[in-house]
Amino acid sequence: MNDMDQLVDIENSTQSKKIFLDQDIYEQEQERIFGRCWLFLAHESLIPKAGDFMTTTMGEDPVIVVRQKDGSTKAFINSCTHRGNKVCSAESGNARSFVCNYHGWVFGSDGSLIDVPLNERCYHGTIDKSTHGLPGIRVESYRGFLFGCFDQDAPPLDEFLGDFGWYLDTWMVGAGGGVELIGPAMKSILNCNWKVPAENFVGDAYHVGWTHAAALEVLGGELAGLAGNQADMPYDDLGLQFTTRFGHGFGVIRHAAASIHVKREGYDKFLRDTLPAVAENLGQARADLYDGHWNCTTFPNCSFLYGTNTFKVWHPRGPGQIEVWTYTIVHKDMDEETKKEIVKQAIRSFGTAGTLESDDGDNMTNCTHTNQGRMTRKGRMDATMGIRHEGHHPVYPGIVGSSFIGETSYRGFYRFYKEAMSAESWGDIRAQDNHWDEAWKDNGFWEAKAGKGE
Amino acid sequence: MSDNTDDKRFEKCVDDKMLREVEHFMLREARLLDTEQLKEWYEQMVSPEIRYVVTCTQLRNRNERRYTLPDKVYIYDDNYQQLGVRVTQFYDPQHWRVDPPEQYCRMVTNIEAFETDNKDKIFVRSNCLVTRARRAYEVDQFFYTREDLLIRSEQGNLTLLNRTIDYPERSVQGRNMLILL
Repeated sequence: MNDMDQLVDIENSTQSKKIFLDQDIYEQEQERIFGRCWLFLAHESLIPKAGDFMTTTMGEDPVIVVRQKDGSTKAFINSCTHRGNKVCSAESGNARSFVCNYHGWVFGSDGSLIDVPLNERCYHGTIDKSTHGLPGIRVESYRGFLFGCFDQDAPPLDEFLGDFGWYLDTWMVGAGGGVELIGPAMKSILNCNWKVPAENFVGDAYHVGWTHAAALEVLGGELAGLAGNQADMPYDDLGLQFTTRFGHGFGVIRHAAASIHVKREGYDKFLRDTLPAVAENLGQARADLYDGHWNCTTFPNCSFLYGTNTFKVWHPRGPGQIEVWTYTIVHKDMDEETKKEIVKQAIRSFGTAGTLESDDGDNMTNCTHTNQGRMTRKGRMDATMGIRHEGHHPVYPGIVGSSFIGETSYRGFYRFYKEAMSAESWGDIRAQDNHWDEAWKDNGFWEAKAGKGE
Repeated sequence: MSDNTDDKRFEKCVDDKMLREVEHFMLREARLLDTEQLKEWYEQMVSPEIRYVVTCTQLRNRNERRYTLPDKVYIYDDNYQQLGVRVTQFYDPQHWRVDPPEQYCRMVTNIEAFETDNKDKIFVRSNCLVTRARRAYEVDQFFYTREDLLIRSEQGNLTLLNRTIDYPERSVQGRNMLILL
């Protein structure tokens, strides 16, 4: 077992570079993180009718997600219980059954084995169909976002999201209409470790002005001010950063939701028109975040930018490679033209040919593969920005950092990463529920700030 | 990609003189893009009315009838202004991604040109292979079929009015597709 105390130093907020390219660590992550956590599968809007299905992966396990006749959703492993072939090669569709191409075993849309060719004549009745269904996976929905979990002992999805769910409701419930994902997903292969984009989305507003300088410059508008970190900005007033119990976190730039969009009249108007209802439904604290731009990661590998509205899943493919899946988030109640325009802008910025996406991809690849070097991998990654400028907030739950540019959410991400990697079971993890925030020993930042009357 | 074997668009080939002009257009375009003359390409060869679309298609069973959500995945859906943003980004001094420079090599082949109902518009189909070499070890290849509509401008030269590519690789291996196809 890997020495997690050495690999992740919570107090000093550093991580060993080894965790980004080591095969043994990757295997442990598959077991203890991807085998335990709720992983994003699909949005309900993508499989609206009975029999509608999508194929995806959880970690590296192939999975089929199917809408059932009773409206519920089931998921099972996409591998024949006979000799292991995939039983479905399509990415989506509507099916009454899934037939293995190899020997013709037939599985129902609920995953049960319903037919075995030559069962009577050649198996002589020895196959028990009731024990040869496709292995099922727990599925739960949060505001239409379907997640799957391999671990029967994991808490329910809404508990796993916890305070992060409270924040997500800001726009997943919003004025009441909710959101949906526009697919099909763009897909591309990127040679990086899955944690590099996950940490980038969870809490890296720092890179925006530098990595994306050229893209922001040509985009124009208020974001051009960030390019090259040239502008003198009151960073502490522009936004906040948040982390929560199970590593989910995000940063918010206030009033910047639509700022990446070149044509944004429809989107801006929608946000303005719905803001009063958000305040009424959810209170002023969340209404204050509603028109902000959010960079988020749901631990471990589902990330999104609310505002830019790109929605990503980083599917791991070994320690040094991922497959990136990209959808677009839209509010269901928007008019069709506004939805279309948002999709276009999201694609142009963070799609496979996006003007910002390619900058990130280059950094992420190099942040991973430099660790191949024997001496390099003995080094540490630093995530100390904003340390001690964070803590329990008088209004917002979780741990809150003072600026949207900071590494509070990195610290929360790797705090839970270490906890999950070290724990023997969900029982061990839940036993720490009342102590997790002790990682922020000096967590009275907001109290002290209020005391000074700031 | 069109699966219509008797598609009306392919009915009438242009004459040899016009075909030569089209070939010259396609090869000049490849040369300008290969040699970082994106601004010249944009200003001289692209119609201000352009629609530039690259899609790929979600994998579904051939006999799929009941699942009706769109299967097209848009990778590019650009107009003239947005293409201009990409061109400007390429030249921006802060655009470190192409510094040191990338090297490109475009091959355009199977060029066929057809008349349309409008004498000023020519429909062109071609197959392409682009190689992008970068940072010593990264060599990405993009292969695809282009369906273009060229229009003769008021100045008399051909310009690109429509480019449609249904990209064959469902999961793009080449890291990103921030390259003009």
